[in-house]
Amino acid sequence: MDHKNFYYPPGGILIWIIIALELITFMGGLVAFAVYRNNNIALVQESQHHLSALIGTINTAILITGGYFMAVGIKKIKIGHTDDAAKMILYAIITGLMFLALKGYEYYDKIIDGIGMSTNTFFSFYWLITGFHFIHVTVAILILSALYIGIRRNKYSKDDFFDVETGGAFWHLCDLIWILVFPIFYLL
Amino acid sequence: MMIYPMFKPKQITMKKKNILLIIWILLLVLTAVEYTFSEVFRYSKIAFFGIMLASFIKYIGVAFQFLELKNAHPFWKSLSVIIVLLFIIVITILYV
Repeated sequence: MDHKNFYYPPGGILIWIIIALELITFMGGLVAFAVYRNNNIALVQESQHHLSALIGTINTAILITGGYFMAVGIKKIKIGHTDDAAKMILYAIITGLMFLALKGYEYYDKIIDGIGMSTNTFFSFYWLITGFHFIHVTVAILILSALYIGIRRNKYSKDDFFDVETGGAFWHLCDLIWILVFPIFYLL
Repeated sequence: MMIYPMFKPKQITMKKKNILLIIWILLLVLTAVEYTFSEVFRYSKIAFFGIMLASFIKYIGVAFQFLELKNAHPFWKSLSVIIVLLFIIVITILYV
């Protein structure tokens, strides 16, 4: 497939329309948060002290590592190394589960402290945007699991890997969104 | 002459794998740099610009190398870069 063709970007044009729309949606949410922050800097900075930048950083590293495994997995299936591809996708699934576990711990910690969506507007944005991202990662794990099973059942090969590429694109979308969400909530 | 083509695919694969490995390490280093900037220069302009620059490079790294945007039509490359640049400009106006 010629990816230089406008209609055939890696993963196909439909997933790229979704990627563009999702990025614009999340960016819109983050800009709305930035506008709110501009008028409530003291409250936002006080609220940020309840978030752990270290946990956010570890989760970023985990997600990026998952992205690396997925990218290697796609390279492997393209050259016919389906066993290696399946192994890499399995590693990506594990990193995704690790991300969800750590994020779940973070959410649990907030709930124990009595911090919910209605605590203040900062946490309304926090729960909404990171929660949507959490759902995206969950869906991506389900997609990768289906691809893993498909590869193990010889449904995909070096001649037929379009679904794997598309699933991989959705996985990387989660990376791209988190790369923008992480600094806005945890670092700046 | 027959030997060379037999080895070529493996060489290409190794090269691509190495590029992905290098990008992965770079992304992890940039993530650590972001955290360090945040802790050392908390809420300063240095921290803001350092973190935003690192985030931009990470975004480009994931999009162009992991997502293979480097092989796509210029429209998709331009769209991805324009979207993130607009976002960074707006955030910079609001934060600085």
